[in-house]
Amino acid sequence: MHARIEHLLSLRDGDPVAAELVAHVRSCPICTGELQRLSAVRAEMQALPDFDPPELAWERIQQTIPRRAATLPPRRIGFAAAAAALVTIAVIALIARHSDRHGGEHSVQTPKVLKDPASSNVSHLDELVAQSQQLEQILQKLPERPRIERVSTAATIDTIEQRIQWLDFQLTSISDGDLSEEQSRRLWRERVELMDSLVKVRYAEAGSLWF
Amino acid sequence: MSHFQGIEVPVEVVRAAQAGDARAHETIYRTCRRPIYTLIRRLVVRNAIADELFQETFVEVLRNISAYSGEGAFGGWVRSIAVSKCLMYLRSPWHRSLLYLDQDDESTAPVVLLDPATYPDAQAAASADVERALASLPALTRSVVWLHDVEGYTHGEIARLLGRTASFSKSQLARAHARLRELLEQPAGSSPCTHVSSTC
Repeated sequence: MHARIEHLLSLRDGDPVAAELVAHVRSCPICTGELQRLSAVRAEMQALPDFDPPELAWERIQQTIPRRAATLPPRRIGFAAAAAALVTIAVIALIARHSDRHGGEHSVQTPKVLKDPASSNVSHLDELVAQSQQLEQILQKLPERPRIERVSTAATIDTIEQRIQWLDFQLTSISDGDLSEEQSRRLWRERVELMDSLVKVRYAEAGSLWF
Repeated sequence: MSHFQGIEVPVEVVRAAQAGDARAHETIYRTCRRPIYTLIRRLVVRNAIADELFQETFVEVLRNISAYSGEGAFGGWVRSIAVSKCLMYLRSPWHRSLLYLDQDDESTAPVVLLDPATYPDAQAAASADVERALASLPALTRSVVWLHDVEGYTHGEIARLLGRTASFSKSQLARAHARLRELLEQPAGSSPCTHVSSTC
């Protein structure tokens, strides 16, 4: 009676096996051969070549990963730096005043940093870029996201961030010459709206921790 | 041995990635992509699904990288996410509804070295090539043999991943090797070389 394959595998892997089994395998050329075959198959599997991952996989992954503070395309970043600093100070003051007024209350108000980011009055491209940059700065000032939060809040934030990423991808991957001014304006306006929504949701999320 | 054992991601790169550094994310991707993709392709044969799981794995790795505590090898942590994704897919109703399933369980007959003539799925024996033979195994059986023999998982670890017992893992491993022997001992060209298992 030859050794069963599971016993030979145990022997191959150094698992405990009965002494009689070991003795039999040593003395039986068929079982010894089978044991060597099992080891050889394992070695062959371990030596199989790697697969090459799909091309452009990284690009797709990048688009999916939400960035905590989505960065703007490099162009025009310097333009809004001074304005962003002013807005940041305004937000901090707003938060401090809110904190003083409401003490231990748990109610949270969303910041009114920008009058109306989607306003049709804001039609100039540079102004939209500047507004977007201001909102970025505000977002960066907010505290880290809590480890535990409502699923609906997390899902909302995730959705907004993904849409912003998609816009950023469009803004960065399409060269200036390929976008008309109206197209650029539309993309930037949408970005401002989304950033504004994101700031508000994040602010509310943070507010539940602060107050 | 496991391709993950050779993965070395410097601590500072992991920390930078945890802080959201995009370059660190890419470094991690470049370092881990081949072993991760290879592992996924070994467990899930269909290219399109493997590609999707590969992407999902990296998204999860980079989204949750702050959860990596630094204990244990970073490659092992990444691998555990990839394995979890694959097994979740293989056990999913989606997978079950589309493909015929590995019906093996602990109640099946004891493992014996099978006579190919008695095995109706003999068309799966594509060639004497190990890779093709491996791809011809049922998904669950293939997963067990790969995780155990190549990735170095213990039967206890596999059992936990599959929600089964260690004896189930052992029986699957024995079944896998019995089947591999059948497939590898068949003379080349005895079955269509175009067939690849449709089990996943």
